Amino acid sequence: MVEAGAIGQTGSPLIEVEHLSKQYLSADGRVTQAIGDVSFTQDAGTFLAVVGPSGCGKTTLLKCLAGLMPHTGGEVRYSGEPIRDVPEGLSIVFQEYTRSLMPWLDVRRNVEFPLRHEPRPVRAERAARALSYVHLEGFESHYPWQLSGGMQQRVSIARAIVS
Amino acid sequence: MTSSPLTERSLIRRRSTQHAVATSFSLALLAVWELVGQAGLTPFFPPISSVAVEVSDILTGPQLTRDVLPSLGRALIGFGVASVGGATLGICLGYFRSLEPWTQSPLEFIRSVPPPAVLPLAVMVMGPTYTMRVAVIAFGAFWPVLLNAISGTRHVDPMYFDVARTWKASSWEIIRRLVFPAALPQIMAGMRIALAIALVLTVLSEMIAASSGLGYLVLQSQRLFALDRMYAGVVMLGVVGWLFTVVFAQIERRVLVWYEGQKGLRDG
Amino acid sequence: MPARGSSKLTARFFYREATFEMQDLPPAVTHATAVDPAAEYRRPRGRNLRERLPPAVGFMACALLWELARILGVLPGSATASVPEILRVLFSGLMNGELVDPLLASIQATAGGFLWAVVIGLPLGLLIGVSRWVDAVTRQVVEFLRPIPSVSLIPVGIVVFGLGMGMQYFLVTFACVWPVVINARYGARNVDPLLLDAARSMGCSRRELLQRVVLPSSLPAVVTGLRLSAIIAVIVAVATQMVSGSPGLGRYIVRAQNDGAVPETYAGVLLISLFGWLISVVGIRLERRFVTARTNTVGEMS
Repeated sequence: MVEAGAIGQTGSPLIEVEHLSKQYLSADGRVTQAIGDVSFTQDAGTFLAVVGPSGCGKTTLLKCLAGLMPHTGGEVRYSGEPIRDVPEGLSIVFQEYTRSLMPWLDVRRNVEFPLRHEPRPVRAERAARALSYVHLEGFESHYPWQLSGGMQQRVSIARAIVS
Repeated sequence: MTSSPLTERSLIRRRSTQHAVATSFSLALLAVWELVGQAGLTPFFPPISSVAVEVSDILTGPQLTRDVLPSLGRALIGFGVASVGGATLGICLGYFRSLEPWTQSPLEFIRSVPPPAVLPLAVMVMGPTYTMRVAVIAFGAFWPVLLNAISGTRHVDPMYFDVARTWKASSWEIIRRLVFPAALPQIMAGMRIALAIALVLTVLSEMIAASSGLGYLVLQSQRLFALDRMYAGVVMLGVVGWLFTVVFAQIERRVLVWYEGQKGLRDG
Repeated sequence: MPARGSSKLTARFFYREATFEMQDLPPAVTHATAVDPAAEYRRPRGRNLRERLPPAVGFMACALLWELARILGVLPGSATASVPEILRVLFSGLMNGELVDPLLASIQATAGGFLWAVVIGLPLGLLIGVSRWVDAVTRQVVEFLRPIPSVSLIPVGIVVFGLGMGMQYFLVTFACVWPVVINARYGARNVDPLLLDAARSMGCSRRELLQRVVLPSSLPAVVTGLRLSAIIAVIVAVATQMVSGSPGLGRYIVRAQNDGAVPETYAGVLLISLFGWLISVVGIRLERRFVTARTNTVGEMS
C-alpha cells in the first residue's frame, strides 16, 4: 500500500496525475502490473513523500512522473501541460548516486553538466556555489571513484541544485 | 508521454518483423551475388548456384575424406593437445606463484611470436610431416589456454583454500578437486579462442606445407582458377568454423552448468 | 499538523524490470571472458635490480636451454642456428637494408589494414550497438561472415586484388574489423541505463545522449577492441605474405627457409616477433590508460 502525504497547500497545482497505470512486458511475454490506478494532485511549494515496502512500485512511479519512462495509461500534467519527455526545471537525485555520476568527468564537470549550454563563467560560478552548499570545495578535480559514497551523494545533490 | 498499451502481441510482432527483415536482407545479398554471377559482370564472382553445386560435390565426393576430414582432424588434435598442455602448465604456473617472476617475461615474448611465422621454422626442424603441422597448430592454440589457466587459477576465491585446509587436503588433491573446477570457466574461455586459432593455423599450414585439406583445396582452386570450387572451400571453412563455435558453446554450457547458476546468483 | 493528502495510492507491487532486450550478445560474453593481458600486466615494474633480475635470468635461461638443445642434438643443428648467430644476422640485416624493406612492408600492411578496419568498423559497431534495428538486420550477415577464418580468404584476395599491398589491406582489414565492431557494439550497448536516465533528466537530446554519454562510456570497450585488432593485424599480415608472396617479412621468412638460409629465417621470425611484441605492449599501455582508471565497467570480448 502506498500513501501520499502533503505538507501545506500553497500555490497552484504543479503536478496532476490522473489514473496513472504502468504495465511491464517481460521478455517471455508476461505482463506485470506495476502501477494500477494512481491519481493525485501536488501543489507548488509542497513536499510529497512516497513510502511503501520494497518492490511496491515507488521507483516506477517516480520514473513515470519524471518522464523517464512512458506510462501505459492515464495522464500526467505539469502546470496543466501533459508531460512530454523530461520536464524543464526538473532535477533528480538518483538512489544509486555512484552510478548516476559520469565516471569520466571530474566533480566540477559533473556538477556543471546541467549547465552545459551556459557560458563558462556562469557555469563556474554556479558550480562553485553548489559545491560550497554541500561542503565539497576543494574536490573539483577529483573523480567520482576517488570519493567516498557520502561524498558522491553530495556531488549528485550539488548537481541537482546547480541550475 | 503516453504510449499505447504494451501487449504481448506487439512485442512478438516486433521481434518477428526484425527477424523477417534480417532474413530478407541476407537473401537480398545472396540474390545480388547470383545475379552478378549469372550476368558474368566480373570473372571473380561465379554465381552462388554453381558454388552451391561445388559444395555438395565436396561433401559427397572423394574430397570429403581427402580434404574435409583431415582438416577437421588436424585442427581438433592440435586443439586437444594445446588444451591439455595449456591447462596443465597454466594451473601449475598459477598455483606455484614463486615461478611467476622468472617465467613471465620469456613467456610474454614467446607468446608474441606470430604463430604463422613459426611454420617455416617447424618445417625446417621437423620436415613437412603430419606431426609438424599438428605441433604448429598446438603451439598457436596453446597460449590462450595457458594464459587463461594461469589467470583462472590465480583468481580462485582464497576462501576455498581456507576451507580445503580444514580438511587437511594434500596439494595434489587441492589442485584436482578445487583449483581445477574453480578455474575451469576461465580455462574454457581460453579454449574457445584456442579453437578459433587452431582452425586458422590448420588452414594456413595446409596452404603452405601440405597437399591435402580444405586450405590446400582453396589455394589449389585459386591457382587453377576454378573459382566456384575456391568459394565452395571458403564456404565450407566458414561452416566448419561456425560448427566448432556452436558445438563448443553447447559443451561449455553443459560443463559449466553450475557456473551459470552461481553467476546469476551473484549478479542478483 | 500536516494535512493528509486525500488521495490514496493503491498499486500492485512486484514489478520486474521490463527486459525488452532481445538476445544480447552471444553467450561468449556472459561466460567467463578470456584473460586480458592488461589485467595480468598491472604489476608495476620496479626499476631496481631486484625486480629486473628474474626476467633477465628467465631470458638467459631460455637462450641457454636453446643452445643446450642444439648441442645435445634434441634440436637438429642443421635446421637451427645459435643465438649469437641469429642476433648477428638480425643486426647486419637491419644495417645493410636486407631486412629493412620487408619490415617496412610489414609495418605498412599492418598499419594500413588496421586503420581501414577502424574507419569501417568503429562507426559500424557503434551504430549497431545503438540502433536495435540495424543490429537485428545485420546480425545474420555478421554471424555468417565472422567465423570465416581470414586466412582462407587469401586466395580470394589474390584473385580479386592481385598480389600487391591492396590485397594485404583487404585481408588484414577483413580480419581486424570484427573485434572493433563487436567491442564497439558491446560498449555502445552496455551503457549504464542509469547514466542515460541521469543525462535525460538533465535535458539531454538524443544527439547529446549519443555524444556525451554513449561515446565516452563505450571508450574502454572500444580501446580493448583496438588492441585486439592490432594484434590480429600483425598475425594476418604475416600469414598473407607467407601464402601469397606479397612483400613483407612473411615473404622474407618463407624465401629464406626455401633457400635453406637458416639463420636468416630465424632472424626474420625474431624481427616480426619483436614487432608484434611492441604492438602488444603499446596496446596494453594505452588500454590501461583508458580502461582502468576512469570507469566502473570494463568490457572485453575476444
